[in-house]
Amino acid sequence: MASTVLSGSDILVVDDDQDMRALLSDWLIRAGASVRTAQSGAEAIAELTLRSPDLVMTDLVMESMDGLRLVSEVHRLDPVLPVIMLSAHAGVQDAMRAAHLGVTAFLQKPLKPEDVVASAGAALAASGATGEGSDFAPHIVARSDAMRSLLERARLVARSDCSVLITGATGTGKEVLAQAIHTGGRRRDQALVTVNCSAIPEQLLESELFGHEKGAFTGATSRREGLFQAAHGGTLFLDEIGDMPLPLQAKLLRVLQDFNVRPVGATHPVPIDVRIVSATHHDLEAAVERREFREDLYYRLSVVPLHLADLNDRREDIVPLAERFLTEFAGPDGAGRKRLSPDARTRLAAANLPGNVRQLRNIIEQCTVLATTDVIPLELVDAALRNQPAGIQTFEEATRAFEYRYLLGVLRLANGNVSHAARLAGRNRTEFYKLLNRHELSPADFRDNASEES
Amino acid sequence: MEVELDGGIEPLVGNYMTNRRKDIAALQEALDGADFGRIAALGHRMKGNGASFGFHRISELGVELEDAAMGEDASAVATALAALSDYVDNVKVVYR
Repeated sequence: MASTVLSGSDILVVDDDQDMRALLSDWLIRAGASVRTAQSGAEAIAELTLRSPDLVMTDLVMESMDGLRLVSEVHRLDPVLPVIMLSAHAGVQDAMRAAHLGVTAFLQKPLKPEDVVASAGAALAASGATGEGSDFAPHIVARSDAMRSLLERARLVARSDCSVLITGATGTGKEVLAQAIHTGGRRRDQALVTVNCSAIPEQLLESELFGHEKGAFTGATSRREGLFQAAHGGTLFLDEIGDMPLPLQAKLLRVLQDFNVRPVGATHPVPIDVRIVSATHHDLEAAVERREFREDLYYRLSVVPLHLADLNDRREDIVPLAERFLTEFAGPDGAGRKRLSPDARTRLAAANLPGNVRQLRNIIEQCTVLATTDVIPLELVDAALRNQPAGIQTFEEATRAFEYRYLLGVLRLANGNVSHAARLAGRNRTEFYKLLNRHELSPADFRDNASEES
Repeated sequence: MEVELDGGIEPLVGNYMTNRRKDIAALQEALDGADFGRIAALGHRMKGNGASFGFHRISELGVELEDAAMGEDASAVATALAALSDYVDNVKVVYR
């Protein structure tokens, strides 16, 4: 079996069975790798801290620290380090958990040398591949070092199924990054389902996420599939996860442990296969300390944390982003595309943009509409900057937006049945109709054929 | 009782057999003390390493030991242990 397919690689083998350590080392060394061994999770962490290997190969069942816990610890130190899991007995749930923790491959014992070497080779090739960054998220502007290194990490994690937590202030582009991770991974042909945890009222969120059976509660006139099931095979993006109420956090944690969902009112759980990407503008670690967010859920969600820096901290990206938006606001064939005057460009590059990319986009849109010539002058940019203090909604705008989202949720839950929806919202029918009219919502749009109002 | 193994792992096989003899002693001790958890762990380990080395019979006996221990079936453990002891004493290894 002498070969050099693993030549130059540094592999850490972790197994509490000394014979397996010896055998795996022998196979890997004969394939050209340099091998270090550890007989426990703790010893492996000590080795990793000394020097990061190119690949970790670990047994699943070990005393004191099992392989799954080791993977979490490994990825806390190095989120993109490939890990291959070995097991003499692996259930589907172990394999699912391992995949969500970012395990590159799962090999069943007894092992064959050719499988071990091929798996190691594939994992090393995937992680060490360079120069492929250009095809990942080409639409995301990354001139700054901060964004470039973030995108590189995102590109690597996109290939795995591990859970990703995106943090960053409002307007930094968390949803855009979530979409890029979905598109850059193997689930790209399946659904990306987005749920804004702060937009759906607490009492509706559970049934939105997990679905419900007919008759599960007042207003549940038909069975409804939840968003987890809608995302089966694909990715579920939990936006504003920091706003998820604590009781629901416990239920979400259970799903992430078992990869089963139990629709409200159902007697049997339904297995699901989804990749979880979540995002928040809150400091979740601080929320954990204040006991507003479950620590165990935080660790499940943030296997790989990705932080989007404020635009003020990555100024190199401002002008390229502005150029991107100018193109976006031009006609389909680029006709009428405006340009920034040199001093307008300099002003923007130095501007305080606390509202981040979203604020910059609004400024460029405003300037594009108001510019009377092809060139956007400094005065227009200045005026737009004054009008866009922080990209924050007024109280009235925020209230209106909340009302709209609330009504959508209630109507969806009630399948467009106005009486049920009004009851859920604690309003009489007349008041409820007034609300619907104000937001130009039609209950008929929320009815499905199986549950027409009779 | 003959088994053909990859010549490349010959330097590891002596140690492997020594460790199985230690396992046999440990299994006997665990059986005497009705420590089924220990028996299951040792069986599980052999299930993984036996066939990886090329000793498929050891993996089979590992499964039997693990299953018997899970069911706390002392007599089935004793039978599997006797078979393991017999195999380790009599197996002839040929390298290709």
